[in-house]
Amino acid sequence: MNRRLLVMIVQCMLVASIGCAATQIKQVWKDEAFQGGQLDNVLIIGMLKNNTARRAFESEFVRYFKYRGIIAVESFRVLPTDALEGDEARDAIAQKVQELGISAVLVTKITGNRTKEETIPGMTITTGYGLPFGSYGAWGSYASVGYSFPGPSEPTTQAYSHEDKFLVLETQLFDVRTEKLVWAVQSETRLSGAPQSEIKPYVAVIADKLFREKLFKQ
Amino acid sequence: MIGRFVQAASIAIISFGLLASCAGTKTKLIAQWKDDAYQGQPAKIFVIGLSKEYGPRTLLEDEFVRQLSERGNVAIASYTVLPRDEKPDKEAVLAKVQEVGADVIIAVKFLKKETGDTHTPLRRYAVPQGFDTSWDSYAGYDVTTDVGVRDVSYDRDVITMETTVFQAATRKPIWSALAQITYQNAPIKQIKPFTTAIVKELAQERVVR
Repeated sequence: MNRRLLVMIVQCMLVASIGCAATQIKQVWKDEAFQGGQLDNVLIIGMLKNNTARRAFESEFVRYFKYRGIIAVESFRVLPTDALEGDEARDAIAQKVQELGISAVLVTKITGNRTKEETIPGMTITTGYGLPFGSYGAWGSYASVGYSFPGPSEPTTQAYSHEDKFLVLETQLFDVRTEKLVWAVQSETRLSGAPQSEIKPYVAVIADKLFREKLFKQ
Repeated sequence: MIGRFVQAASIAIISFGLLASCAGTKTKLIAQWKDDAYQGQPAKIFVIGLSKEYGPRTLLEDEFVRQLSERGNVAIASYTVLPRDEKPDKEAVLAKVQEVGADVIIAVKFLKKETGDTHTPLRRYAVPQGFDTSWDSYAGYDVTTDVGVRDVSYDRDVITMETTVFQAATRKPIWSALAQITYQNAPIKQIKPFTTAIVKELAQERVVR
């Protein structure tokens, strides 16, 4: 009985955590013609302007790859931030890919953002005075006779509005051999603070999706 | 009587809580990175505040040196060895680092400042008098008092700072963090809590002693 209850609680918590996840997958695409299980040396690129954010992002991805025994390299170790900007970025990446014997490149970039304004209306909560007394099972329900005390008991809150900010991100996986896109995911992350705070949860969601596709040699 | 006391105390506690949260200063690390391969302990740390303003830079560097020294590290502030008026380039800094025998560099950079408004809407509670005195006094419920917390609106500034620790020999980063400092009073007063947060984290990550 207790075990069943525990399972139910865990299930409820799981559902709640999924429902509250800041990152929601919007679209996933996979090249069905691509023969999976081949890729084994991955260059991770986070197209982020801030160096700390880029390092944190790329290293977090690398941890997931290493955990699965796949070789992965953070781009910040081999390519400076300015090398990822401008028209020469592709050439700089291609050169490093060749040098390091990379078989796949995983690129993440911010593709947009949006703001949603939500208004929470004011509320007045009215409670009956007799209610707490009547709920004492051990005391019997004598209180449910209905003690009625006059006077206000109405906690009120004012209406207010708040903004939800969302960041749209796209992660793409390229096969170096063919230079073609083999997998892509578009997601939206709700920001509850600084965008950098969402790095770990974002990588967790995307890595889970990515490794389910069995594209890498394991 | 006791009920009124509890009521007054409740109002005082709520007000104090609000005031404390309004006036509060907070340093929060919003992103952090460490090179897992780094295992060293610094022999001498070179602290440099990448600021155009000399005054705040010296205060920041001095605070870092003081807190690092307190933990048993040897640290030197860049302003004591670099010329005051000109902005030294990267190579000049690295040459000075080598000259003073530092093996680790802590570079602190100001990234941006934002101003935000925080608004706490009005809440109103009806508190029955004599609520907690005794079972006998519940009849006193017929007298209630409306107490409330006024809506509060205040401005606060948010500064984002980036701290990077480099290995002097390889010139590569070994640790970096983005910190957001939320405050209401003078930014100069944030130097100490910010430095405390960073140095504490550096020690926890075993980047410094």
